[in-house]
Amino acid sequence: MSPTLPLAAGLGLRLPHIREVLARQPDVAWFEVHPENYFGGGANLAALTAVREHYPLSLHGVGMGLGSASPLDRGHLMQFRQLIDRLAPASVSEHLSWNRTPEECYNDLLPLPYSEAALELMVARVGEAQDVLGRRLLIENLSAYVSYAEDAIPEGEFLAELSRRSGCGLLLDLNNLYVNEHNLGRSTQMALAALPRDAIGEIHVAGFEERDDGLWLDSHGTPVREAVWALLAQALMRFGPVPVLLERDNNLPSLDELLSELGRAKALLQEVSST
Amino acid sequence: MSLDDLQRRFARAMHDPEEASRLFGEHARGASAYANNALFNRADALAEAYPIVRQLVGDEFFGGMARAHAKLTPSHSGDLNRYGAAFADFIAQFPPAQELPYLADCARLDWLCHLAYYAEDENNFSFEALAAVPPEQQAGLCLQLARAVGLLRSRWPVASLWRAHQPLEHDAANAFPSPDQGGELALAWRDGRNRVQVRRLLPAEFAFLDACRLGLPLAEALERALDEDLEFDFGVSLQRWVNDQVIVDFNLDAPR
Repeated sequence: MSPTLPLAAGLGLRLPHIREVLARQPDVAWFEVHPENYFGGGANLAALTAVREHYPLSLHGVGMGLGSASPLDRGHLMQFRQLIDRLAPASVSEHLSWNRTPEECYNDLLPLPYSEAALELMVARVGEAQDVLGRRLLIENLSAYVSYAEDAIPEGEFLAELSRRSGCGLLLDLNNLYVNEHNLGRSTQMALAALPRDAIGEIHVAGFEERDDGLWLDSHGTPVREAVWALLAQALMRFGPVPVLLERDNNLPSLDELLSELGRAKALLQEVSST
Repeated sequence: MSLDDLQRRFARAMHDPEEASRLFGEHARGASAYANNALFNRADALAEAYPIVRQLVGDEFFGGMARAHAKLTPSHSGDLNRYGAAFADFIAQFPPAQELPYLADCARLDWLCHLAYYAEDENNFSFEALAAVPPEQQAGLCLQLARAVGLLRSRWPVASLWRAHQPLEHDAANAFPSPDQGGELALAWRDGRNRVQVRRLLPAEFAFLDACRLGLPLAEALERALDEDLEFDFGVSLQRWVNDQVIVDFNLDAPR
């Protein structure tokens, strides 16, 4: 049985806050980090190892590019595996995305078409990554700024089928669904309805920004919007208590500000747990 | 269209609005968001990796130079901390940077420090194991540098420039050096408290550590050091480099 995150609210931990977290040990059920920042050794890894002594961790990868037509970077996978062996995280996750051609890596979360071919590739790649990492993965739905003529399977069904065929869990990012509805006209409600209850291992909420031309950018640089908190309340009703993460990567505010915002997620989880 | 074709076209569409229209139809405007992300993610990675260069030229100049490099130079790893190895060579031939001829070497030192920061952790050197080496094998043993160690020979005072740009160290002892005061030999490494450090080396010290880096046996490393300075004190130097985690191991066979 794989370890799992507490059914409680966790916080994205970014490097500028790590020493303060160690000094204060705030009341947070678990922390999430991007493993790529801790590849190798040195001060970052030493600090994270100290954090791990006090909190469960979620390792949330952003660099694997599982859906790239080019082969996976085995060196990257091995670095990730070393970190898993060292930190024994409660959860390991990645994205439904690609990031490389044979010539170039884009260091971004690029969207796949929702086609049978993409589904087959993702099933194979999730299997390959799970074998190397020795852990079940949670795979996160993406925010996308483009869509393809090849899109044939609705987003929720694509994720459900990926989970069914590969055995992975799903990481449901509600802000991404909300942003996609605006940018691409995809129905958030249809996606939520299509997701299997028992596959959801974690839920993310975050903020976005509006570009001048009306495109919404999933920047993780602002507080969570009211509409996304409402989606969280709805999702917790549907899926039951699930670990919820507040993500913030840019325009990083003080730790206290994040802890205060995290209170909203705690309250919503409390409500659903007591009903 | 195969996924391989589709992803190659996506890569082109980031910079080509017509290709974006063909591939994404009504949602083509989103392609530019990806181009922007790729460019700024790389430029941000350079800003993290090259703090002294950034201080020397200011944020605005640095941003322009970083984006100019990022446009020309692909990333090859999903780990952005590995991006930027070629930036110093780019700076050396970047026309607007020619007024600061020492900038490229400062960048080389920044990069060595960046590598030192993220290098794998090492075990501690064992003097007991060293003492147990039979005397007849001592000349052939190879001292092993930590993977965090970098050496730089420059015609500019790069180590002094580095120290003058450290917070809290900008005092009389670390006064801002004149770039024309002469070249330096620099050692970059990570100490036992995981802090990246830079120190000037004497020619004999540099020759010794460089020989270790090349995997040469102790006898030859000593010979090279003594060629530079007959007073080179191996015992004292070894003790200090072991304490500082510059030298972390030795082996009796071929180097790793």
